[in-house]
Amino acid sequence: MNIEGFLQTLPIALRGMGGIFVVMAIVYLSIKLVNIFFADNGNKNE
Amino acid sequence: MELIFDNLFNLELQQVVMWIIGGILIYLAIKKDMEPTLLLPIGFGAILVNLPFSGAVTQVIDGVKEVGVLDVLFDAGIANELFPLLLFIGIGAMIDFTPLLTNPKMLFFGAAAQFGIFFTFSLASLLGFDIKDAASVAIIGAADGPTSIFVANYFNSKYLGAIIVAAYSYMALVPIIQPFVIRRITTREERLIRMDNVKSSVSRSVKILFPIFITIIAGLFAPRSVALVGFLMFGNLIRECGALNILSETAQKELPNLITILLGITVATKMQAEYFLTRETLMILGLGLIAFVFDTVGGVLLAKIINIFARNKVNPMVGACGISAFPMSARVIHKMGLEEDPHNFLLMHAVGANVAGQIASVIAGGLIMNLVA
Repeated sequence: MNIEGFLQTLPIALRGMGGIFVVMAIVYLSIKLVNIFFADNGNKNE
Repeated sequence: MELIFDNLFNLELQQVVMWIIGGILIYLAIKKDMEPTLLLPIGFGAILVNLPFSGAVTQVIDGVKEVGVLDVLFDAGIANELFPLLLFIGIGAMIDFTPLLTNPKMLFFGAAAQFGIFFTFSLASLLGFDIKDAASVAIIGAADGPTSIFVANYFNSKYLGAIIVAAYSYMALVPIIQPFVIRRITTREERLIRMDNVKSSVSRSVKILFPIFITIIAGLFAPRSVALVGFLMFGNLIRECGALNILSETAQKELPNLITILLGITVATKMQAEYFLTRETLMILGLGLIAFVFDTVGGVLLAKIINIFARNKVNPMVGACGISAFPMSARVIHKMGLEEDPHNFLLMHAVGANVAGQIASVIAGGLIMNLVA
């Protein structure tokens, strides 16, 4: 068991998980904004 | 005659074991339909490279280096990460992001379902893998073959063969792994939750802008993921722009087919007995399974947490679709929903979370490269 290595990974794992949520939140806001500015006014892409 | 039979005496037991493993992969691909496009070439390649003094891989014979064609392909397509990137153009061209664009909340399930990657990263490190190998093993939890290849190769992991076999095997086992895990961490009442319908159309402008925006965001926040995200989104832009239908068709069919043929057999260069038949390979197979399990747990738990506060409840099974195994995970959850309640149609929500998982897994790959490098 490599306890030292394990402890070394914890902050990386936390930052990684946090980072994904931050990036996804930014993507979420972008989609919301784009959906507002380019709303579907019957111009569907089917 | 002696010359003809000479090579027989060079055969080692380990190589025969690798033939058996190759045979099992071929059997699973053909008989069980487990990711046949990859497991069959990998299985055949495992036999090809484990013949004594196989001319398919580089050998030093009598002090003379004879370059094998599979090593040439490896250097040309995997060592420089070209094959997984080209495959991503095809994947991007195949994905319709509409269910996500109409319900972008699903993005957060994509994020939560990457939990298995980081859990496995720490666990692999605890079990003695060095930090770069731990990251390479953990990326099996991306549930996405090209991302696994890209990241493991970036860290120059000697376990590339085992990682890829684990990644593709567990992706094929999603219909078994996910229902098993979900049933153990959800109640029947939760699995019966019905979700509101969402509007089903978005404007063409949104569909065209989406891949461009994602590429910019990924480039700004996880720069090492930008090649993966960029190629994925380039494929999607070709699909959605409406002006490149012929290219879109090629990107969806011929391109990934060609790359897949070469990718599978080239990966086998890392399945030579001396690299593959190790204790670490068994550990990687176990850690890969743990990664998939905790990906599922992460997505389900986020849905449960949301349900504590939200008025409109989320079926926790949809959270599990945040893993990237697209579209299998969405299909599995849709089927599970119908088994619980024949009138509960979760498909659109499940597909939304599933394509979110595709994006999140690539971002996770980029982040882990940024953080560990």
